[in-house]
Amino acid sequence: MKSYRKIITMSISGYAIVFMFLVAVMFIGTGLYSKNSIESARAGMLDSNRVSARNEISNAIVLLEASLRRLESSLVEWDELFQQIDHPEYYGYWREHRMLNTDFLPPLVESAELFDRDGKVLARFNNSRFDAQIDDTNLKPRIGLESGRLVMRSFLKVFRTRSPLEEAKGYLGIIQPFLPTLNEFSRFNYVNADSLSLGLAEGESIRLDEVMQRIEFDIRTSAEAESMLEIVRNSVLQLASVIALLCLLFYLLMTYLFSKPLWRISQYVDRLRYSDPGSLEQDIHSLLQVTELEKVRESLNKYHSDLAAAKDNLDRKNRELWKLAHHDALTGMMNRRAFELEFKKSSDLLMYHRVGLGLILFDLNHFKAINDSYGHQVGDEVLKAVSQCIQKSLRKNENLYRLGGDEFAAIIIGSDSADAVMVAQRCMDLINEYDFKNLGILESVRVSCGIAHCQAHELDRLESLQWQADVAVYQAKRPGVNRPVLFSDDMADGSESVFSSWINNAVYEAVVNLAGIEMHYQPIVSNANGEIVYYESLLRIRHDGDIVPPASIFPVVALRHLETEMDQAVIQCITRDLRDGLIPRHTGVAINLSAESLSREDLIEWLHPLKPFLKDYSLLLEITETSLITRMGTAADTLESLRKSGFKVALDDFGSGYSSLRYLTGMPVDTIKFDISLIQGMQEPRLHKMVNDLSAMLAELNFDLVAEGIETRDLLDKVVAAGFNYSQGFYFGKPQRGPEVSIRPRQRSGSLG
Amino acid sequence: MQASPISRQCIIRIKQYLFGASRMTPGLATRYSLGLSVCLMLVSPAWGQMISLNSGPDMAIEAEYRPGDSSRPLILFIHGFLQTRDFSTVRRLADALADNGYSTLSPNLSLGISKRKRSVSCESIQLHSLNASAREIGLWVDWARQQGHRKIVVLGHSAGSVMVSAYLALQPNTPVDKTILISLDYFGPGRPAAFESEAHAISAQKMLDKGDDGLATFALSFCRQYVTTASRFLSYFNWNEQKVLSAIKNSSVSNHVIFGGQDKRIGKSWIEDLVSKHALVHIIDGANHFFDETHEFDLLDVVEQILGDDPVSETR
Repeated sequence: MKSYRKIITMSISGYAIVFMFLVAVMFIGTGLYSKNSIESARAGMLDSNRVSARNEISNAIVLLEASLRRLESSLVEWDELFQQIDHPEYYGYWREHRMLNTDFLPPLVESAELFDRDGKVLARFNNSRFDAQIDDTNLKPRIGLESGRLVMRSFLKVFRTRSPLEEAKGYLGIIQPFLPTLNEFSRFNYVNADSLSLGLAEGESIRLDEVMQRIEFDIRTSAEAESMLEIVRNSVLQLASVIALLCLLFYLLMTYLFSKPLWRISQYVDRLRYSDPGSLEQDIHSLLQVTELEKVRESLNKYHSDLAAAKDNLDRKNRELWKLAHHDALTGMMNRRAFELEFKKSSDLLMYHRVGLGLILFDLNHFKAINDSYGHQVGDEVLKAVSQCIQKSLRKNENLYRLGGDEFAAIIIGSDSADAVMVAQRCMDLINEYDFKNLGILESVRVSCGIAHCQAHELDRLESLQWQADVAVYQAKRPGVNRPVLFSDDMADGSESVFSSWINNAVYEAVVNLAGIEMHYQPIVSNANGEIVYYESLLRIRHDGDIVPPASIFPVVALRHLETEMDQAVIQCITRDLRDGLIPRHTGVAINLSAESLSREDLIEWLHPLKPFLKDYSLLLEITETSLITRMGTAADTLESLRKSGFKVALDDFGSGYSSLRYLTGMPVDTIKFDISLIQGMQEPRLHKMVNDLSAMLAELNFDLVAEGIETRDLLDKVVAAGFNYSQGFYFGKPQRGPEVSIRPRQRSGSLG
Repeated sequence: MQASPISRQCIIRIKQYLFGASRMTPGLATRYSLGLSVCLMLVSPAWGQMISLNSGPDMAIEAEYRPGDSSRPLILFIHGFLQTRDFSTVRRLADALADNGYSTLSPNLSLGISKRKRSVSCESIQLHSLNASAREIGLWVDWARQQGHRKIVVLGHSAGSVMVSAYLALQPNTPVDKTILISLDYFGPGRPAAFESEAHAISAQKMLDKGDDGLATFALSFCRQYVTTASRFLSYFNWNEQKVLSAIKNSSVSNHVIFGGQDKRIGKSWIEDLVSKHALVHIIDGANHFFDETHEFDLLDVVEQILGDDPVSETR
């Protein structure tokens, strides 16, 4: 057995969304990777910048120191300095008004003080930020934290000349804010100047040359790097926006170009299943057309067109076939199949629309005699003429059905019984008026017409309407009755046996639904070794728990012309029994076929399901000699074909009907079953001798001979002595259903022969 | 470094030519000549020495001395108020005359600052007086004499001329042969653009009367805020025109006064007064107080003319 893997499908929109998701994931991944790379590069740059920053600060300090030296050197030009050193009496005024207001001192100098050559301040002032005495041995610039600010204290020697031999005339102490002063000497590309600090405590100071050991700072983020990062960030965002837009456009494009048109196509295909939606027109409102989808559309339209043409052709063929299947080829009327369908429909009409239903059955009187007398051709013409007369008489929308043979039916809807009788009478009158002499028939052709009717409220009668019509026909056939007979309940009395609705129902159920069919099997035993060689299948119907015997079954079958249907049902049941292993392997089954079935061209098809069993079973077809003789022409080829397939043919009831010996040699039979009447007649010496001679003769013709009706040992001995190959009868067992079939008959000492 | 006398003379003559012929703008001529000066300086040896004298305790004064032709007089250049020897008027004259073979002595008056090198701003504490400057002039004159210079011409410009007059008053028997007083004016009232000097003089006097000789801000000369003591202020302010005239009149030297015809500070009456006091007044038309532009050459010519009036052989 094939195992099918479940295939997961997704819409184009779904695929588009998945694609966009994947693109987003890839883009985010790439973005993250780029970000990490940039961060790494940035970190590297920061390290490099840190080194550069330290160099910047170091260089600035070097420049600061140089500027202090230059300032010291330039003091020689500051005449006022020396004026004050030499004449400090107005130092206070000069200190207040002039010292910081000249061009000699850098503008950032916030405080200054003059000291004499001994390092003593020229004058003490309360607002002085210098000590009164400086240590001239420790004049290196110092950086200290004063009032929360870093300030640089420098002491410059004051020389009157540039002579290296001259001693300092005094000292100029200046205080500058350290960081702004340092900023003067460097642009600080790498250092965040606002972050510079020395980590000094309030009042703590260090030498200028110790600054690099204590300096703390933040790196100024590289403008170029930040700019680059910003550019990359913006580029990524812009790219993301573009990609998002492209993805959206892609999604919309997919939807517009593919999803929507394909949806249209799929909807169109869906509609094709239930109705004819015409051709799939081009979407003229669509701006963009996809060539491949257009090709699909065109192909679909062509396929639909071809399919529609094929459907039309098929419909036409179906109609023809239906017509063939539902019409009688001879008369052109509807046949039994159509009748059954129409009757069912009409029954539904009665049940759901509460209208009356009438059933008229027409049965030609003595049709067999006409056939026999004038031949089948004339008989056919009679049937045509009768059917045409009846059809003419029926109203519009009322059809005539040939049920088979010489039986016709008409269904009258929405009428009461009087209408049905009137219609039937009209039909009969027309038939009576027809001049059958034109067909060469000298005798009058009459039909018997039976009517059954039920009103809308009589649903319980519906089921037995056909049976009632049969009863009515039966009544109409009585001598002297030349009118349509309407069924009445009193007609049902005395018709139970054959026209019992119970039996009819059982038979119908069996034929239609195979319901209740029980094939019983009676063994046929080899006279040589007493082994069961095969079983004859015998029809029983179990209906409502009771068995309907063949004597009740077959009259109904015959009357209702259900021979072929019943044979088909029997074959199906036997096939089922074989499949279920009810019949022991390496035995066989004999199947009784009716004469009607023998005439059927599709008999071989009926028997086809049995062919697989031929390798394990003997399958015999039992046909009465009367059936075979009367249908020799049509049956011979069929039987011969079946024999070639492996089936055997047995001539049943030999000696009870037509017994022309001449036909025997030409009959396609393998086995001849002597009728019970012949076998049991062997008690009488003359019949005994005749049976002996017949059997000897037939045996020499290589026919297998079966003796039916063996009920005693004595009879058995006689048939064995007569040369019969096989025996059948109650002596060996009654027809049984079920496991009893598999039990072999009573073993006797010695052989049967 | 300075150009040699010959090269400098060439530069001056070239300048005179260029500018006198009006073939260049003054600025362009100056730039051209300066460029030429640089070139010539490069090939010219430098000369001149700095002389330092003690003018008092912890007070040294310096002068640039360029000895020249001994047959020619030494010219002692006295710069203007609060200026230095390098003030353009006196500098150009000193250089030109030095180039012409004159001995030049260009001091920076101390103005109370030992070895003063730069001009003094008005707002500086002014610890000098007119008298001190006059005495310093005397020191330089004495020094020049000690150097063997028999003829000494003292040339002053603007306030320097006033200080020369004060020197003359201080030393009536000066060995100076003559004075050349360029743009001579005076302190005291009536001086053009005197600001509030007169009122300040009254205030200063009052201060002194009170015994207060502390620092105060006065207006003196071109200084609106001149920080000095009252006494020192008055030492300048009180040297008015009468005193100048008196000094000139009473001096035994020949006093030549040179004015620029366009000097706004000099009135006609002043000139007349000077003439009446036997000063020999020379007017250079078109020149201003500082004898800028081409008038420097005119000034030079007049000065040389003045210098050349008396023969070298004469002695005093």
